[in-house]
Amino acid sequence: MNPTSTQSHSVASALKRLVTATACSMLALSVIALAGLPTRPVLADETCQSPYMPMITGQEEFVYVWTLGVAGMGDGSDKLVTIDVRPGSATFGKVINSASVDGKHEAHHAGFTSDRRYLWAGGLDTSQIFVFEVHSDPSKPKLVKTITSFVKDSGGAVGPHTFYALPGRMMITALSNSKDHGGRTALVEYSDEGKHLATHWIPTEADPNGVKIEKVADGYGYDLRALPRRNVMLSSSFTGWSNYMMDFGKMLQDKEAMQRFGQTVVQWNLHTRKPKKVLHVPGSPLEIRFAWGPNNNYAFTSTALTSKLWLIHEGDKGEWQAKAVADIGDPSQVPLPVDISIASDDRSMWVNTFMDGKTRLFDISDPHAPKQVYEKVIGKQINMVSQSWDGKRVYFTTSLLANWDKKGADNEQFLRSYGWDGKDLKEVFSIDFNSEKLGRSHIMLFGSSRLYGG
Amino acid sequence: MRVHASIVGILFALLLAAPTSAHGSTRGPHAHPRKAVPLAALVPAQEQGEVPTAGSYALPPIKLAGDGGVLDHTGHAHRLAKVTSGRITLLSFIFANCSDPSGCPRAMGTLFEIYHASENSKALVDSARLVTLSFDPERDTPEALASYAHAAIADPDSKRKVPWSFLTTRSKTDLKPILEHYGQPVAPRHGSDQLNHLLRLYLIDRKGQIRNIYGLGMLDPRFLLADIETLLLEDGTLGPKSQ
Repeated sequence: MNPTSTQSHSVASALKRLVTATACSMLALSVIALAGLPTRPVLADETCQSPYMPMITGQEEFVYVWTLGVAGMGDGSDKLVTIDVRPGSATFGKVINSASVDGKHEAHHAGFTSDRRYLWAGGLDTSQIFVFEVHSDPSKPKLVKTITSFVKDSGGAVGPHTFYALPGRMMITALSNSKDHGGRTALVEYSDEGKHLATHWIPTEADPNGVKIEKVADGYGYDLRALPRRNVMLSSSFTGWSNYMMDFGKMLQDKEAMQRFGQTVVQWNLHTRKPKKVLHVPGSPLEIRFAWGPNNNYAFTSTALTSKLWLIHEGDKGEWQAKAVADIGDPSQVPLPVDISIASDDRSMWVNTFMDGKTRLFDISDPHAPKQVYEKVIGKQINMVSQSWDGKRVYFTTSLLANWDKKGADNEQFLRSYGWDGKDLKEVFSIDFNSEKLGRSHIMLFGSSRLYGG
Repeated sequence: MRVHASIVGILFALLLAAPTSAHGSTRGPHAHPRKAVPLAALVPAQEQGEVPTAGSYALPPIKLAGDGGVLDHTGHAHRLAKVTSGRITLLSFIFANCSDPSGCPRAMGTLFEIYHASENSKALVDSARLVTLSFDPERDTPEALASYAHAAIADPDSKRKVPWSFLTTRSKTDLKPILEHYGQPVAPRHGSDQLNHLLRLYLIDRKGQIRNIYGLGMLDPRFLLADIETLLLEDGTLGPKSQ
């Protein structure tokens, strides 16, 4: 792709043509009470975190942004950027710390350990994992460990993506493998101390591992979430290293590459870590968000290529199943849904679409029939969305992947904070990551000194 | 301050008076079933769903269990690592004043279900152990612990059930490295006598290795019993007819 907005438009057009040509079938692209005890159930994006960790249900103090380094910009390295969001603070809405790692690794996702004292952040390209200590001074996370042996430890998994806290352990989804750099991959489990514990390969038709296959079993991975009280863990599916490190425009022209996207959600037995069922969810299902209500046995995901919201739910007989429940924008325009964020009351969900830079709010009070009730353009491109537990503050960032972000003037990189009054999003502050020479802003996580007795 | 402990004590007394068992009455020395059944079948089904078959899955060692000086409810000193080795151990951290029903009382309820169920399993009585360690040494003195755990300590049938140790420490200084090792951050809650903490139970094998860690939503006793049985099968203690 070349660095003009015209060409960004042509990419969108190419993507649209391609998805249309493949009949949208499978593949084309993707995308405490601090007042209460941390032992309280599953109330911990604050609304999208592991239920095993302490949660911030009051005012978050810091937003950590895992940021991709850009050659020639600042130190050029990936970094964990800390923004002060304490109301009344002299540095409110400002960058107050930046902890760089050595070099560029395709910074992507990150997650806290279950005690929320450490933050693990992954590099999709080099498969390195960076462990930041956040509890001593939550305003200044420090890099304390780098795990460089992920591929060897795991027996060939590549691209650590989601970091999902289990008690005393970190469950990591990988995106690829070292054999062919395709989408076949695994879940990789470490202790909080960084010791590799187990690798759980995602089932394929050739290696089903006793799983029930609804239609296909591609073995791909992306996100992971769990519903402990039903002993269920779900993983979604994206694409491998050979695609996510490829130039976006080039990939769109490569028909074979465009066949290599996931179309499955796997139901796992959380306790035994064994796969149980492979659900057919075509179009590359990305983020998974479980509802919070004590009787709400369902999760949502969005499919990047087909622009649909899917409901993954437990039926009357205890069988988990998937069904498409809503379109996101006009699927024929391929808006490319990326991140989603469910409200703590399970009544609404933010859905971001990368290509048009929009966020959309869906009323999901009937999870079988979500309805869009609001939309707003946030920027030229957006990816991640994180909301506070009370839903009053919503944050957005922009980068999808270094080689997939838009070019030129369309390559906005920011963290933008909004207030939500139930009717409209009103901007509170915006930090330009390009002019601040930070890089490409990706996943956001919240911090607070009050988690640690501060 | 002791009100909460009293409530918990009453709860324990009620639990002792009405043990739940899939096999009805559990009294008498011949209560051990002759036919091998999964340990998980010793307690009723709960919300967490279908319990996995013991031995059908792996429990990779996570790390060595922590060590440190502890006191039992009579005030005798022990090394924690010695208490948590030799038998398969379920270790929980609690404080007696905890008033969150989804916190320490929930953990104690799970341990009590296993305690009562053990009367039906010689394997459990011979091979397992329950350990409860306070993270509030200033209030949970040995004497206070003895009061807190009276219903279990004074249980006339305790010899036929899995042994249960109630421990505390001399001081926060002694406690700190233990909590650090187990990843159990504890912080005072402003304006309250309560402590912010994480609900955790630890499964420790005979060699003193942590093999599983349970949090909220994972305290179905059937799953804990399946894990214990998995370790008993792994170390050869249990055969098909030896339960």
